[in-house]
Amino acid sequence: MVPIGVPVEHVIALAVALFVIGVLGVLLRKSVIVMLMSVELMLNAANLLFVVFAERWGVARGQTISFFVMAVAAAEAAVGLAILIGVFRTHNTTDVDELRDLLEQS
Amino acid sequence: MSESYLPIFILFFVTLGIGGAMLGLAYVLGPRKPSAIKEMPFEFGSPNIGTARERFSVKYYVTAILFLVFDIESVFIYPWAVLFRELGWFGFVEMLVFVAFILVGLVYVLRKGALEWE
Amino acid sequence: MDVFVFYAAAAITLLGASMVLVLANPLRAAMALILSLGALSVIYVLLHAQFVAVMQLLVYAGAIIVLFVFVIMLLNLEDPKTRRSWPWVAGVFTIIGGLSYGLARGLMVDDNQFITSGPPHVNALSKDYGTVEQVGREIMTTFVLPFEMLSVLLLVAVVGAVVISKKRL
Repeated sequence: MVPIGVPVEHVIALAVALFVIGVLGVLLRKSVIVMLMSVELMLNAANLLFVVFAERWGVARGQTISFFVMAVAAAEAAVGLAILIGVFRTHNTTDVDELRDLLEQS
Repeated sequence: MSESYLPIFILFFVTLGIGGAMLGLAYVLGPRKPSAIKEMPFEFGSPNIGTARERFSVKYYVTAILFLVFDIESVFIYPWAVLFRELGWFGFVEMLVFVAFILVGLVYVLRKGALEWE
Repeated sequence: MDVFVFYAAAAITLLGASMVLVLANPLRAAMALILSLGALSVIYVLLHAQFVAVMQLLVYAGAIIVLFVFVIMLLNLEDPKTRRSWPWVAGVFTIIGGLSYGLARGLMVDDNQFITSGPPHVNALSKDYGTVEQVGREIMTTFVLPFEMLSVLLLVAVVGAVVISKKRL
């Protein structure tokens, strides 16, 4: 088996683009659910880098780490969405512009 | 490399083709005589109650969380099962500890009554 | 063939991710996320990470997105009234394209430390590279402690989620 004939820079560019989309999703979107989805995108960009460098180095350790990243992503989504449900119950919204209790008295 | 995945591609397109052909042929060949009753979404024969956009109970969320956790568990049990003979007793104890921790979570959820239906 | 599939899958990945960023309806964003992560698993297969690809589908499409869709149904979020303005979208994608292209160009410079340092790139992979046996052996032997810690993390996630989401205790 040989590594895929794609320059590693292109894979890095893909990972960077995914990560930037994730960052912009967290910064620009108002819905907390979509912000959490964007966090998943960022974690996947990191996973992609782990996998591609594992392949270029010929060592599978990067793939092993990506499993732990996946499990952490699952735990993060579970707790994050639970917090979202709790917040929605008291404030009846998931719009971050309306959730200002820590910022000022509403 | 991707040539060895050709069967999966074929399976993918055959599945897509059969599904598309079923819907497409039914659309092209089937007679359509729409009426108000026929246009109703089918539930179980009786008139519909509300819409599908109804809010679900939060109780279902705990079920979904448990599914997620056991899904992750299965991800790690699968390579363990493949390597079971090679790892021997070390692997057995290792997985026992792993499952025990997750079992604590399940027992907690059960004791809290989060899975009980009222 | 491999290279062509890679670029096609990369394009679909970016398309799905962009739709997550742009689509107003959270349910549609979740479906776009499945598209993106599914195409990413094709890239994992091409990078000789078959097991990671399968588990990516199992964990993300099978569990995490299900959780997201569950929460969207639980909260019954209505479609936001605001419409995306196209200059806004164009500006965002200019930033994305500029950053990723800039980094890719920067890495292609020959005397770049990031690429030239470190172990040399291999020309051949071992026969069992990326198989369940090889990855599983690493998880079960080298990474025993992180593996066990992971069960504690999942326990914490279950307990935390139940405590936070349950109305009365």
